[in-house]
Amino acid sequence: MTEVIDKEVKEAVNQSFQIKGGMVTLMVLELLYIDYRRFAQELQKKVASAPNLFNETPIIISLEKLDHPSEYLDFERLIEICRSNDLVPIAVRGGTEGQSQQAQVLGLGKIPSATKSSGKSAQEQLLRDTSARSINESVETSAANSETLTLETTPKFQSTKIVRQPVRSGQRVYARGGDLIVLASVGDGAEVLADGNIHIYGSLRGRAIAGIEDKDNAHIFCQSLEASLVSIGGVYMLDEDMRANHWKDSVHIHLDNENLHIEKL
Amino acid sequence: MAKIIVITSGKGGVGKTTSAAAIGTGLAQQGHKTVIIDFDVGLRNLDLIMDCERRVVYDFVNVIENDATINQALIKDKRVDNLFILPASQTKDKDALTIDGVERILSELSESFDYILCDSPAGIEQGAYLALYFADAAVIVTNPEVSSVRDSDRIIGLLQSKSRRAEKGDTPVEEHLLLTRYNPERVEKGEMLSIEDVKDILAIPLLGVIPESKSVLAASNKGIPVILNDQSRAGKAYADAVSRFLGKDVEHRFIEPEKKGLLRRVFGR
Repeated sequence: MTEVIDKEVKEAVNQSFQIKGGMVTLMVLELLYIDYRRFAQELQKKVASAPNLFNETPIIISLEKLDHPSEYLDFERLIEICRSNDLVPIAVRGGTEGQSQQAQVLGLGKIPSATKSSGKSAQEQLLRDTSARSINESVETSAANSETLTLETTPKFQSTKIVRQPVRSGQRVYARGGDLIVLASVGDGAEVLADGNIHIYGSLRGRAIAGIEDKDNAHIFCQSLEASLVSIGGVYMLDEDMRANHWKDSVHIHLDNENLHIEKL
Repeated sequence: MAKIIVITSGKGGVGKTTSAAAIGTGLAQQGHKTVIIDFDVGLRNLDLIMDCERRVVYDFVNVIENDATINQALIKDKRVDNLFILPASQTKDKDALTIDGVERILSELSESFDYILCDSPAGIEQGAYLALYFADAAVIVTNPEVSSVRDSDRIIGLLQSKSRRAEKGDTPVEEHLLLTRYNPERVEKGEMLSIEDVKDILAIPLLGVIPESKSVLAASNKGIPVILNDQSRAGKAYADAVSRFLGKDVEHRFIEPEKKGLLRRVFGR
């Protein structure tokens, strides 16, 4: 018996690799329409404007925003244009089955669309999803990961978590799979997270992280904006960015073109 | 059955021990048999403020470790009837306190006392945790400045999640905010948080506001609980707080800047 365990331990020690869940912020290149010449020109211009930013950077090509989504795509040419501009395409996000097969042939990975959930295995989807999205480091917990797993395999339903007490410094409230409503203030040093929206009927002084699962439909509402950080779908803003505008206002925060937009209520 | 009250704050140096001594003395003055327990093992202070450091023979840890009985360790106050002190150990390690030991002593004291005050150490570690775990009520001592308020917020969170009442799902621990070192003039100048600011952040009922006063330090140095000085504003404010704790409706005093009289205005400060 001990021999068997010893052997297993030995094997584990000698393993040549290990697989770990990790989160990397990656750039996503969203194609809006197909015009190879224009794409090449514009990309060149963009890269020239910030050469350090694009130095052999891995990117994901997103097909989700294409005006004619099912159009035939010359992936070889797209990759060629990217490579000649010091970008390294590693995967394709979204697109039709045919498109992703084409991309696969050329050695690109496939990442399911951020908005639609596909029928692929949950594990695979999770691994790719998490690496693709620039999720804030606060959600980088194993608890959050394992929860995402169950969420992907079961049909989504929107549950709402209601907190009646103030969320105090050092406390962390996470509404998994739905919205979070706090009927009091969120203190400095507290953290509220939700896969969906966050509503705070009080002052928001700590951190609010919404849209962990569903960034396109995530909003943050609070009666007084005094937050140290707000984030939706990984796009975040610190208090120094908010102090100038809408500080202590009653606000609605949402994503607009990958930027956080704050509106006074 | 005694009511167990924890005097806590998270942050150090805000006036926990001073407040524990004053409130304990005040409760005893009102005829309630009261014991104040110093939970700050290794940094014993309560005995100094109560002027009984030379009378400490056995301490809290001796009782927990069954080296002494509770009656051997309890020190009776010489000034006020009904008031007893259970000092902390100055030499033992702070891990000497155990949850079972604390529970045993508290239940033994419960049989003969009306109020048990637990003077918590600063921080959120074992000593502070044990001081608050068995509490029925909590007095959160806070200074009107941001770091103290934030630490108090943290402690209230722990009371609401980690106390025995929270764990058992009983009625929650009664919470009382005691704002100490309050200086209305400095609040007016914007150098200190106002009562309203603190109440807004902590969202618990206000038990009392103790004005910043030289008499507090003087009383501590002499080993006389400041509440016994009925000339000092801080002493009066503590007496008011004790009355409020016992359910009386007393108006808050010393919360507005002092109006300078004509002579003072003419001759400056």
